[in-house]
Amino acid sequence: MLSKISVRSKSARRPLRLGIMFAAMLILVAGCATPPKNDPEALAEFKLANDPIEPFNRIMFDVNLTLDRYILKPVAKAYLWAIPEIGRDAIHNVLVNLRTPVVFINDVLQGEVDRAGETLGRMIANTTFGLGGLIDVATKIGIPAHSEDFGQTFAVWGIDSGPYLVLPIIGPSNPRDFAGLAIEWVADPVNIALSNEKGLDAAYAVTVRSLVFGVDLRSRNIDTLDQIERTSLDFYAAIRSLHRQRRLDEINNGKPTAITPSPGISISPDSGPRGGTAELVE
Amino acid sequence: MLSRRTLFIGVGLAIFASALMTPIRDGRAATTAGEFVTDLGNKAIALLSLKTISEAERVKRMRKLLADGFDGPAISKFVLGVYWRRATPKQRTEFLDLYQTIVAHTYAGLFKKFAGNTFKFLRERSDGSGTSIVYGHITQPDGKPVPVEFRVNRKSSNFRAVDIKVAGVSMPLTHRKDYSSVIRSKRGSIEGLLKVMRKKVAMLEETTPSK
Repeated sequence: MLSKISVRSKSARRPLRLGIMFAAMLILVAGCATPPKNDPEALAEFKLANDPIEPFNRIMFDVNLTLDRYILKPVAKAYLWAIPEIGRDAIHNVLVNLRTPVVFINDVLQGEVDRAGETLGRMIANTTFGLGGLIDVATKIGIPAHSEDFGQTFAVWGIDSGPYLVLPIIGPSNPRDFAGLAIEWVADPVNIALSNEKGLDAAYAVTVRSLVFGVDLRSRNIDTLDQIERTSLDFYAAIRSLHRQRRLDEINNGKPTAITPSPGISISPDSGPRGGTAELVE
Repeated sequence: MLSRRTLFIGVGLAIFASALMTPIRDGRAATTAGEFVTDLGNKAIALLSLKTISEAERVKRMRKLLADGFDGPAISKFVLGVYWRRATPKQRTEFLDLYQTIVAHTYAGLFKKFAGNTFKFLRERSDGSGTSIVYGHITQPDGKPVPVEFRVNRKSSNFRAVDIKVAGVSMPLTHRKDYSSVIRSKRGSIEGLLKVMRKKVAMLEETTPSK
């Protein structure tokens, strides 16, 4: 039994090790972004972008786009076509409900007592009256869903995001959020419960859950992402900025922040690059 | 985080205020930033979310709305950032025109989905120097309200929006990052950026002409 487990974990580790080696090679080949010399303004913009391994990230971004074009997007479209809205909503509700333990843990770790209570209430209401999460009863009675993850908790604790990082398949991230994601993979109570279930291939169940999660998410963003790709000049840079702004908003739980750069307040064009300090919050 | 009670009071007051405001305000121009944004938001949803109009018509209406409700030059200045200073007056004019076309196409497409939604004013905050921030919600028939934030400048009796944030994402800030990345890849050349923009506008106008 023991040997069987160790064999499995070894073989499971192999693709991961290969993946890391491949990524390291790519970074070496693609190199780092060269800061613009002799141009203080361009240099300031470069620093604000906080993307020192941009060449690598762009390659990853293109790889992900290709995977999306040929696999994920067609699957998401087929999903939209094959399953009626009521069914998709039920699937979405189940996925959201399965994440409530992780959300609850992070509410607590962030000291958000009210929100922790809401999450607990949602979990109980939707799992029982909502028939295992199929129906979002909680939203109907005035407790809408909110999302939390370990990356957000680290941010609340004051841990810096680190540079921008595009992960294979997962997409836009950073070292802090990636660490959070890794913790969620091993600490998600639902996944732990699944792996303790007898007669169920845990890895299989967790994989199915992740795949359905991906398809559900993609199917909800098809129009918006198409529109951004069509109208942006540099799709990569637009997504980088959108992702950071969304993350900041999630970390602040939707509260308006005091300083974000905008045409009204910051950086008059003549104030020079130093006028842009407000932008560091992005 | 807003406590739920404050939120309820806010929403309640907003409903009360809008109920009170509408008949009195009939035909009168907006006198506060909040009124201006409420008018703009409702007009945008009413004009753009109609399923019966063509894509080209939607983009045309968006262009008009942008020209009437937003401070194009101020937003252009912000989007070009440090590069604004290096642009010649001719380049600035061309940039503004191309930029407004691109934004019209971007938002016309996104607004299509807003059919059946309404804009709800929540509160406004003024910094005393003529700039106000207006907070509101786009309420969807089913699902969560989406928070929207406008930054509005007042010049004499005219209001003009200079920033719009939906769910924490600012349109001008995203464009600033997008466009500065292009300028950087063109070694700081504004002409390089304009070339990319002309190509983009030609592509967008080919499928849905707005001019």
